[in-house]
Amino acid sequence: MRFDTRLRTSLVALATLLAPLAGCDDTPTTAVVTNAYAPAAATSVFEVWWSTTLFPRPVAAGATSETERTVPASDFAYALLAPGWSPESGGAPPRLVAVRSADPLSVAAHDRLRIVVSPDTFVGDCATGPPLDEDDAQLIVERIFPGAFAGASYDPATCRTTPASGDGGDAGGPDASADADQDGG
Amino acid sequence: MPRRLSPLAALVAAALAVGGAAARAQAPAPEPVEPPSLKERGTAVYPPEALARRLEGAVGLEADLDATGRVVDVRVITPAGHGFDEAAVEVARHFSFEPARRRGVPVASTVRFSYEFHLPPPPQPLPPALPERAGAAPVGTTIVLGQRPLSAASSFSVQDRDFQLRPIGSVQDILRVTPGLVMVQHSGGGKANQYFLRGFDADHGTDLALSIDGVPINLVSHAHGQGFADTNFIIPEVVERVEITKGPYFPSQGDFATAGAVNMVSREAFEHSSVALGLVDSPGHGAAGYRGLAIASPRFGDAPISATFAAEVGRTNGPFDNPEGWDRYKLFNKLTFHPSGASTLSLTEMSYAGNWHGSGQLPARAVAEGLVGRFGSIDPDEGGDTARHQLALAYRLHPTDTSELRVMAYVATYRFDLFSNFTLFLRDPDDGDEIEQVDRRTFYGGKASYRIVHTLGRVSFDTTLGADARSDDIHEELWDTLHRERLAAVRSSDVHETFMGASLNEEIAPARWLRADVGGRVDLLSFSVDDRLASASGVDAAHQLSPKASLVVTPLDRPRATLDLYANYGHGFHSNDVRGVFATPAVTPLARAKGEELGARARLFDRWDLAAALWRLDLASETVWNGDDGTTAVSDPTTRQGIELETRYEPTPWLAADLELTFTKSRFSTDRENGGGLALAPRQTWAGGLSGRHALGPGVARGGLRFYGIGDRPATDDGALTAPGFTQLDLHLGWRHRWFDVAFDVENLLDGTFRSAQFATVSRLRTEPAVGAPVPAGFSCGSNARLAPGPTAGRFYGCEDVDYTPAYPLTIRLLATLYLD
Repeated sequence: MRFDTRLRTSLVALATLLAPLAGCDDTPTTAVVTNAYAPAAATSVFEVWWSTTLFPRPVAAGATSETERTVPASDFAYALLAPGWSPESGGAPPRLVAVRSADPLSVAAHDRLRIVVSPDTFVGDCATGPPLDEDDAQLIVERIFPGAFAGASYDPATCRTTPASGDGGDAGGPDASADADQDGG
Repeated sequence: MPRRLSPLAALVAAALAVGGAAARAQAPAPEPVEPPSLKERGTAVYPPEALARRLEGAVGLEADLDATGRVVDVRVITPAGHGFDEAAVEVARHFSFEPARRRGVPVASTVRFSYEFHLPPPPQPLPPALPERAGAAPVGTTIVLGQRPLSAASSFSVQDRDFQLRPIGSVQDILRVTPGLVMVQHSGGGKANQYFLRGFDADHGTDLALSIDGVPINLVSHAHGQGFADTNFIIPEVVERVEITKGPYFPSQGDFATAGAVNMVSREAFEHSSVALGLVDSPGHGAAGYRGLAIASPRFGDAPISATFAAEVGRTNGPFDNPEGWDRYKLFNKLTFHPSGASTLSLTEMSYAGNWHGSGQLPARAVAEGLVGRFGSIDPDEGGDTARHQLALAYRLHPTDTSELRVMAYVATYRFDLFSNFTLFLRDPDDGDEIEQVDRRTFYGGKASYRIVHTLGRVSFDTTLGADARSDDIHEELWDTLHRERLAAVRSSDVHETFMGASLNEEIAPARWLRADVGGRVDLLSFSVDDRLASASGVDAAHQLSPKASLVVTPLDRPRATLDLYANYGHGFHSNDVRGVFATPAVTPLARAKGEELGARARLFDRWDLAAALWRLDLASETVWNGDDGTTAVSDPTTRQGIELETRYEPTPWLAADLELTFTKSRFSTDRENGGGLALAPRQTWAGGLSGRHALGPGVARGGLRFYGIGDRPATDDGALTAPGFTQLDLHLGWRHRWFDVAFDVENLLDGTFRSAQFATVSRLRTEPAVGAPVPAGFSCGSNARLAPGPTAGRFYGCEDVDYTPAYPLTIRLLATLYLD
């Protein structure tokens, strides 16, 4: 067999081998958070947790978060809202509201999950809809975002945080959690 | 006048018993012996009587070779009668061989082969000639070339022809030729594998010294784990031979050679230039990957120089939900110059860079609860990138026929960034426990040895003096991270570490049936640590003297039965991460190992090999897994005792079966009521299979059906948790034509769902109770897991669970190679 014939034959064979690759999708599964609160409401999404993925950066009303890598799953999303606070304003939010997606959110392999946070898709924002039940609130406050509520108690019925000492008024927020972040190792 | 037949009419099979030849060299050698290979052969005169009666036959021969490869004596060990024996002996006397070599020096040896007489074949198209290499049989022969040597004496060499009968997708697959060595992948393809050998779960290589062409692969005081040995920078096709030793019995070996040592030897040249493309896929899981390979091996006429250039690119995704996307390139360039017949100079360059996403180790409870799938990930940001570039210069000179000088020097640069999350949300319930381990280093070193063989009366002496040195300039960091962004620095250190060693080995052979090796080595380690964030800095040094001795007796040396008995004793060591020397509590820089071994090796009927070894290894301290920061720490002294059994049987000249079993008991030397044994120490391993090679159509087909596995083992020192074992079955099929080769592998043929790397780790899932909170009524960490102890009873401090990397499901690999010249 002449070399050029061999080469041609081989290129065809290699192309045949490569063909299955064209159908292979190794795009990673991803997720983003969209804050669908009306800009006028000035409600930021402070943090979001879904399945195995944390969105640690606040998302202003009408904005979308950075894309994070995730894996296929179906789970509720949990979020902290910061009413009346904007990421650009600096400092800590004066108040945090714990919310949960109304339904489990799912994403298939190689797809992108868009977690839309709005009064229609999340429950627990006392200003816009029904409150969270106690179990969900406890899960969010004590396990999902414990740092945000360290040293304070959260009332899902009123969406108010009070210091554990019981002296009344709003408390909590990121500043209150600073000392608790590294504990427990 | 007897009639002479053409080579094609009288097909001759000179089947070199490669391993057997080495094993039965005149003085059975615990040092790796490069077996002799056939250089020139003649064609026998077909016995007239047999020709007249249309008889065929095969004569088993045993030939004694001198150190030049000349045949000095030939004996018939399997007669065929009808004049075949005499004809075979006569032609074999005129064969010539490349002599066997021990550490490069030609030595006398004994080789067995069969000489087959075949009548002229019926008229049919003859297969085209395959590329012939010294020692290989001519086309059309039906022999198994890859006979594996035995290991009861802890030392042997495995040729590339053995690799070809197995699925080979990476260098790790090549290393599986080591009897008793089981490897599992760990968090994806970009990281070093996990090695199990002689009762060690050698986390990335702590007690297994790996090298290529003498350049160490293990990295001291590595950011991820002591002795981290990532072989991913090696293109598997460039490995010509693997030299394997077990135990600390060999003076030439220093750091990490406690359980064993493996040195891969790269090729000087390829027979053909080639291009290859491969695909890998796990149907139903993940995404396919590819591998491209190009090899150029140009000729330079009669110039005494050879060159090889090889390049590999690839992308692997694995079966994971979080595609691995392991993109990589590898280069191998080697120039070899023969200034004279007695000297060789070679320059080898190797480069590798890769990046990937790992899926981490999944807590078993997270999968059981349905939080993630079996191939899921809890922190999809795990993974990393790494690179290694090394240059090695080697010189070998034979000043006389009985002496050899070897000198080599190397320099390498290395980069490593690894993102991991072992404890999940235990330390930081808000941002998670993701960490980044950073390692930047330049290391350089060299080795020199001088060997001389001499005799005094009937006693022969083989003396080797050696020296080696290595320096590592290291910068390491440990960061808390989130989504691969740095949050806080945890550690940052500059480390300088220098090893210097000298060795002596005296081999004394007073008789053909007796040989003793005595010697040892002395090692000096000096080091400095500059801790940039804390006060754990300092300068220190340590040294160790390691005596070694071996005795080899051959009580039985008959044509159809040989038996070798071995006794070995030796001290060795592995170094510890020197950053720990200045930490609290401080660790010792060198951990002494003391090994003892009794072994036997037999070959029966020229087709059945048997080997057994009874060994013990005491280690002054153990490296143990620390899940908090993904590093290792040291433990109390340990003792391991074990039995290794091997057998290989060739029912036909083209088919071989083998089986390896190991049984090990591991424990702390002092009784601390940890009756379960050492965490993760393997108790039983097994491997074996069928492999063969046979002419098929215009080429040669090859195949192998192989299994390997490991038994259940304790995941914790107290044995409360178990790391379940597994058995994996692999299939390899291949067909080699003059111009192309096709290899088809199926890994995990039975699609078993088992675990690969495993660790008992205390971790916390995000939805589990907060650390320090009361444990809710009814809460459980799951089966084969338990609540981690803490300062206050009844409160939650994490779950100690068995975290694991899932084994690949049924995975298909296809590699097509086109030869260009």
